Amino acid sequence: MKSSLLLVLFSCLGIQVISAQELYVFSEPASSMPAKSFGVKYTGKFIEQENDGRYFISSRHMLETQFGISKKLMFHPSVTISDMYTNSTSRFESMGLYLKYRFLSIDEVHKHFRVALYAKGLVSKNELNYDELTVDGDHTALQGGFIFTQLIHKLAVSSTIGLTEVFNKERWEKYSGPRKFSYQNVAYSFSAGYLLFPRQYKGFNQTNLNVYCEFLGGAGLDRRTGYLDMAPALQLIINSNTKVNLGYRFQLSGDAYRMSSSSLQFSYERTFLNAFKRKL
Amino acid sequence: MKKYLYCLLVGLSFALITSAQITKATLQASGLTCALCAKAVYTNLTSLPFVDNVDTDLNASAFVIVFKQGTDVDLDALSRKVQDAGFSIASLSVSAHVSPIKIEVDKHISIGEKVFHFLNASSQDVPTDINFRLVDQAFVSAKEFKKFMTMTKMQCVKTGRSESCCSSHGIKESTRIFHAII
Repeated sequence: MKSSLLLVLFSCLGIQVISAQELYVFSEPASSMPAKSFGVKYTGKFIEQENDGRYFISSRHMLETQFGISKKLMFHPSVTISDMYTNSTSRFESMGLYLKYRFLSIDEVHKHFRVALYAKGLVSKNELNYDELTVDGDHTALQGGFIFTQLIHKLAVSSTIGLTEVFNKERWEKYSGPRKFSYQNVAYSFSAGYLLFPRQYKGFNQTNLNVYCEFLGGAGLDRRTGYLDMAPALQLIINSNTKVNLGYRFQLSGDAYRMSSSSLQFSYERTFLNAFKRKL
Repeated sequence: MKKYLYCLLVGLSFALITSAQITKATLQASGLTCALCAKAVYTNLTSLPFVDNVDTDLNASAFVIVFKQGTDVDLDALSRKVQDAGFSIASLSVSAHVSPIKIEVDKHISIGEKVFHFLNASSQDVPTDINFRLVDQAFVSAKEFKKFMTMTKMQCVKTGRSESCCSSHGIKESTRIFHAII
């Protein structure tokens, strides 16, 4: 199944000379939202877990609001509810804030190169039980780093590198044995996106179909464990303001202790352009 | 009194005042390929009070903007709105209706309430309508701007505002000057 997906994606990369997108499903591009725009996004993440030989599906639901403050600065407050750490009962899990500042933009017709600084802070109720460090809801953590995005005609590629620090209370508890989990890691990603349809634009109301292939990794700085995932995804853009994303993420390699080595992700996002009026 | 008269005469000698209206502009945006991005530019442009309507060529990232009659067109606001959408202007060509004027290289010419500095005109008479491309930093790519800066020795091309080079043309200090090629 995985090899078939890989084959389809790389076939697309090889034969399509078509439009690209940088509206990645599992990562953020260096580009920012339009100034004075507002967005809402729902993301559902679903994984399979095992407990005493019993397999079950658990999930995380994130509601995010998005604000474009200026042409360079945006922020996304978010909350999650989840049953991933409770085995059965969904509960409020975390709240977070994502900030992105685009400080370099070199634009040409159908091309750009952009670099942004980003940071995300998260306060979570979960205990630290795994090596995989995220700012999606799992841990009380801070992550910051750089995003580089290049659009070349209609091909968009992007890379992110960031440092994650976990601030769960377990980090400071006295424990005589060897360190159980990572507290610091380097998070990195490489993403590519293509617009499959339409071949020719005729209007804003045409539905766009995008295909993405992302590689997402983490490497512990204290405990030398890590992982590298691949995440193919499809995206529909409707009326040039609504995104519907579906992606599957699975581990390619790694030795980090994780809750799950694969997940299914669905998200729905609506953007309201020029939502905050201002003078010229 | 004599001083004011002198200033007026100098101004009339070098800046040809016309009753005119900028009617239309063709804007090509840079840094985008997708319809969602173009929608952000389109929405921002149509929010401007002096814009009548915007026609879009999504494949070329081009926008044909028709301005409302009798309004003061703020050309810099076009650039700000494109930048607010997250992109830049690659080219901006402007159409204006004018009374008969004469375009000369490195002379400052008023069209409506705006002052234009043509970098490549060859003493040509314009009877009623004129089309030109703006080449200030906000309206071209960084690479092209370097090229356009070499077309004149006057310093105002670098800042888009009147400099010491413009004072002999009767232009007030720090007046916005739009540089253009025809």
